[in-house]
Amino acid sequence: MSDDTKLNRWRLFAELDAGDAEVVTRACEERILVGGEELFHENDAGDSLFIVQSGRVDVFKNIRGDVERALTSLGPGEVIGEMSFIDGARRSATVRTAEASEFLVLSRQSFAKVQKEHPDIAAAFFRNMAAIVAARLRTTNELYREAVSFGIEATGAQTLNLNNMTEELRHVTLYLSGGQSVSGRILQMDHHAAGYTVVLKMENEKLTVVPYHAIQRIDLA
Amino acid sequence: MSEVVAFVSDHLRASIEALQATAPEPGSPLDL
Repeated sequence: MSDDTKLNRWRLFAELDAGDAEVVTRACEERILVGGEELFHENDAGDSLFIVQSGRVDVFKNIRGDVERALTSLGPGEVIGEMSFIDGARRSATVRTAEASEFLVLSRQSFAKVQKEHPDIAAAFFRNMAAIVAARLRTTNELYREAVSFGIEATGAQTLNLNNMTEELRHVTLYLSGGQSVSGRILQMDHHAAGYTVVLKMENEKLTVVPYHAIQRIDLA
Repeated sequence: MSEVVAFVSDHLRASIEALQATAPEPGSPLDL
């Protein structure tokens, strides 16, 4: 496969013809790493994006302390470090090579020259980048939905089936992490960005909103 | 167009932070 064909298959160059793609690649430097090397570390400063030419990299996100979560693995044609390239903020994840890998490196400064001399090429490049970043946003939102869902299942709420209880308006007592308890009938469950909340109708007809993470035990009457 | 990319990228950073915040507290039942 010729380099031109290869570039056309890469999403970042999807709307560029071979000549336009070459304008961008001429603004790039090349970097070669052996397997197991760090391309950059989470919270590093940096404003370059990297395009994997060959090889494979793993992307990790620090969860807490020294615990990392592997987010994804990326191969030829994929883009890395695009957020820092766009906003100049620190790296959001750590990237390590899984094997010997070659990269094209594009700095903000180099791309600014392309933008100035070839605004039409820069616009097409940005359109491709917007599509890539939007696709990653969809993936991350889905991971977030799964993580919240996992939390609900792992703590037993799925087994208790709170939605059924809501429909039947059963009387329950919620024991909370602070040591208190509240009794009433579950009126509804709301899901929003911060998690789930339970709306409880108390004996005195008042409504109480209880965040799900505060509930330690649920007793049915 | 660069503003559009920046807008989407901001949302991606926020989404990643939200995902990170779902990590369980050490010792909690979810800390597998």
